[in-house]
Amino acid sequence: MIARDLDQHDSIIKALRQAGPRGLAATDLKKVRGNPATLKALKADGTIRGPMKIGRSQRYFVADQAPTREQVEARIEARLRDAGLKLTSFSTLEDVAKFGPKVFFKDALSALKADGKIVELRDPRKSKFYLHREPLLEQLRTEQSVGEAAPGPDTDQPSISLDQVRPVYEALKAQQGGISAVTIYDVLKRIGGGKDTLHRLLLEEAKRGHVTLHPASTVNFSPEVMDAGIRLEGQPYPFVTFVLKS
Amino acid sequence: MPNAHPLKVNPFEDNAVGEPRAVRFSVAGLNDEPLDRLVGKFARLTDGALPRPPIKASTAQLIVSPDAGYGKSHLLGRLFQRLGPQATLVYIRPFQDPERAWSSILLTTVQELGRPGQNDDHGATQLEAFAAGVLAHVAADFIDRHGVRNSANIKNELDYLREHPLETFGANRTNSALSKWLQARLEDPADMVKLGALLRQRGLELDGKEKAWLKVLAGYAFAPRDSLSQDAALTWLRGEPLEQDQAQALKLAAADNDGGGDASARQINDLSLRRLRGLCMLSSYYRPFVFCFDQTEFYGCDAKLTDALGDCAWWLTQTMPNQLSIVTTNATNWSQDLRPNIKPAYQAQFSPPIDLEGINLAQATELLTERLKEFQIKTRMIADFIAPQWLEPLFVPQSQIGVRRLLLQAAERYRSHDSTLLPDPLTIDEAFGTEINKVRAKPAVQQYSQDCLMWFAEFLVTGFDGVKVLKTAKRYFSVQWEWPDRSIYFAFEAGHHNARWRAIADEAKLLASNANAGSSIVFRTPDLKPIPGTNWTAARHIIDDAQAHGLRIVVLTIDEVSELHAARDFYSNALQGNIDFAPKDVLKFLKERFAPWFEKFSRPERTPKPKPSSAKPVTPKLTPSPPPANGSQIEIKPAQLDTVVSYMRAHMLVDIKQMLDKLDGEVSQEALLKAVESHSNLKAHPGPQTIVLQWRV
Repeated sequence: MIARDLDQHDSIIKALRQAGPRGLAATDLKKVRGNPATLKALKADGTIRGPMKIGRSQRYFVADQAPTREQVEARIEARLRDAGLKLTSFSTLEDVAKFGPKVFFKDALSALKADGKIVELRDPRKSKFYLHREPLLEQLRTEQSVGEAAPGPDTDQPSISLDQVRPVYEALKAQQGGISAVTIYDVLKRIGGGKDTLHRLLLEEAKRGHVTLHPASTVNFSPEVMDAGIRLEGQPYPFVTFVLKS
Repeated sequence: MPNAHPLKVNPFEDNAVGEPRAVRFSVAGLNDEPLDRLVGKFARLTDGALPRPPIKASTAQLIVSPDAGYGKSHLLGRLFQRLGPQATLVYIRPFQDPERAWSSILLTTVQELGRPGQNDDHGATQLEAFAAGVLAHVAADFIDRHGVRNSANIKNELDYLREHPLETFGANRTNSALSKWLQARLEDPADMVKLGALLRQRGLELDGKEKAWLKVLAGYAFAPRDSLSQDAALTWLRGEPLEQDQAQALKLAAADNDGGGDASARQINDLSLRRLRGLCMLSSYYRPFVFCFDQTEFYGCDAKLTDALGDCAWWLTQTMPNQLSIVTTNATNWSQDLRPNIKPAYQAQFSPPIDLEGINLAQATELLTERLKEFQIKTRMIADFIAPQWLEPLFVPQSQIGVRRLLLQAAERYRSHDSTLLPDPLTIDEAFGTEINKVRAKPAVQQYSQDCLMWFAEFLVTGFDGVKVLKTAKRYFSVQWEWPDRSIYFAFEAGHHNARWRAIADEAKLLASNANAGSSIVFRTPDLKPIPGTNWTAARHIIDDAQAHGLRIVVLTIDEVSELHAARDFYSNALQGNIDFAPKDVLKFLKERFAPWFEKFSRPERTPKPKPSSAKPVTPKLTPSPPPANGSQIEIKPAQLDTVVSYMRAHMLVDIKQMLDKLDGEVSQEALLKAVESHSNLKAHPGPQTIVLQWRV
């Protein structure tokens, strides 16, 4: 009885190891696995991983050859880094990550966004596109070195749109480890527009529910940061930070 | 708003959650997504039948509020409710000393283990449930492997044991046969080896202390409440050395009594880390742990403290399985004050931010209605109160606002309808009075807190009378107040081991021999055992002698503990933006308020060498205690609770003094508040002068 179980252990592991990182579909594994309890025991002790839904099939892997979220993250990052400032679509990244379960892809994307390693953008039709932070920051540094614009009083400034603010916002968010609340001051410094223009945009978008504004009164900001905030009648503190909803 | 009751409580005054277990009501849909994410992360830890192999922890989940007052602590309260008996829940206030972070976290954990489970545990504490749960599975494993010839025949019984550990091993067990059987196994060296091996076979790494853990858990689970054995188990869990009678009560081997009597702060910290890891390992057999690090704005004032928080996250994530750590923060505090002071390797131990959202108009209507209903306000009046012309402008210019802002506005509106309520704003003195009553109203938070005491000695005192506050390299007296002509030293010790206290006394004497000698002070709180212990002889002489040379063992009263704990909470609330006072103003106020304390403890005091029979610790009376009722009880009796319930049901809002009178002075305020805390229909509303009790519908 015990000898038979051990034989089944060995044959399952051998078959999975031969299959390598592609793993074996549950249907293929049925041919070798024999007693269902054997498979359960191998899963329980961590020797094998699965079933993982990859494409349309449920697949099993030897533990050290199973796909991981970290591998998916690395592939996405590498692909975006290589793309430079060229936007990469969501579906392209899905293809890059299709060697692992879909859930890994979603988690990896969330983690990369939150860690500020990549930036998500949307076009007017809400399609998602991605950039790696490094080429983006490089671009921003270049622009800043041409002439850093400090926030100043509004003259007849041209209006700005949320699409112009978003990449700057995403880069700042990335810099602070994915924390969504960024200061109006930092955005003003980078986009170089007039203060009132940005204030108008933020208030407008706040009404639409795309932006939330915050006094962030638990932090001691410098006078410049406070000055760049939005002061409204009836509000005890100026709104110094904002969150741009994705 | 019509005056429904002669006693005034503003239904919206309670606008900050100081303690997650106090959360009762939540608005539908508000911050459900962050909650679901936490629950989803926790679910990983409960994958598969018990006992499970150790499951590696996820990164610490970072809950981020876009601003103060968006419900971080409330979310933790909802998580506590949602997980209920699936988890062992630990709420951690900020630690004060980067080098003793683990001893602080362990002390808090053991204190939290002593609190009742969230529900379904029949009043058992979390530790009773944990110990019974682990032992039940260990016993079932043993029976399965070694106990009977054909264990398949008793599969149903084993399944029952695994699924109902508290019924079998809990304090209210009806049959002790199985617990006695297991105790006999624990006393049999051969069986003990097998039991220890069972833990190792399940993949649990307990540093060779498998047997000790089992004996300690059994010592706690099978002994009567407050027995020597339970006390010994708690002492061991806290990483403190055991006295001989305690070690005997647990039948521990000498090598397992590993809390050294003369251990240094670093050694104690290391042992605390190992104990925590042991608890997490053992939760493979029962409920995974949830560690909630709240009020993190507090760390922002000290870069080393902030980095220590990151270090803790690393150790938790990398070395402690079966647990979910949660860290809450305000967005800007994290990005400006905390994250920059955390090493990159530690930053990676925190999850991507999980953002909280503000409340919308519909949710605001629900929340305000619920608050007013609790006070039995009539439906028509509620409709008047939340009139659109008042409520809707609050949501301009944005459709979501912080919950606290809504409650503050509602409180103001309520006050404007009832001029007999306290004027707004409260003075800082009144606000602090309320804070003290908040601590008084929660007996669970009056326990010894090394962090509060350190905060007082290291931080609050700065600026007093030109004092220089120094961290020393001394083994015990780690904080020094230095003046040109004298020094005062502070040690922080919650334990009661005579060897430890001999060592403390010896160090105090040594300090007294220095050129600018002063006093050396150790604070104690009423929940700790008296020092010297009743049976100490040699240690008593040494301590007496040290007291004659300036050692002061200061036992704080409950009022003093409440005031001190309230002070740190008050300052923390200011840092978090929970109150309308700037942190610097709060600090200035507290420094003035505590000036008599600084004055008292900054003067050397030589206690005349006490006679052995009269060796009693010094108990300063800094604030007047409410007169304790003669012979008032520590626990309320069932008949007295019935009186409270029927009286409260009839009157709805009652001043606590009135309620105590109603009980003929037979119950202490502390006992009454303890009963209120654990009763689902009763709530305490702390105010500046008194505490009002409410019957909640």
